[in-house]
Amino acid sequence: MIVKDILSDILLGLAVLIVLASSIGVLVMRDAYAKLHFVTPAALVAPALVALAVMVQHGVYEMTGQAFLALFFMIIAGPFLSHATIRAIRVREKGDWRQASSGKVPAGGTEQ
Amino acid sequence: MIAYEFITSVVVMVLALLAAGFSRPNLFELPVLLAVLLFGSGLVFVRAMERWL
Repeated sequence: MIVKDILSDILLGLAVLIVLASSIGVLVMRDAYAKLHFVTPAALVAPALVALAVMVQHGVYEMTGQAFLALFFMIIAGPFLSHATIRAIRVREKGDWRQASSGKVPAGGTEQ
Repeated sequence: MIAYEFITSVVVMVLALLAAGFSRPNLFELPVLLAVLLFGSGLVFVRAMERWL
């Protein structure tokens, strides 16, 4: 019982540290491209630690399954949202997300 | 968008920990639902930001 409590406390403490460090990184970095790097630990690593802490505390139970289900959806959503955010920033800055200097037109794209 | 993803991730963790802390398994539907909505609403928000905002 005590070992489970200590282990889950360590995991939750690590999750809190990761979220704090990520929030400092988001605050300190200048542009959105750099800030986006610091969202990933808070959106993927910290929820994984929280799900592990729930599993350690409650064992393999209904709550653990739902915690890992939420973690699964966040793991799926994270890379897609990061890519979409970078694409939106690039469209707002340059008018198009494709690289303009190479002269190559990607498959399915139209020449500008 | 960065703040939206960050805050939603923190809220998912908070809801999961509240449900686990109070030992209420039925409340675990909220973080699962919010994690699903993060994906859909994030893509819609990004698309709107890209096109209209």
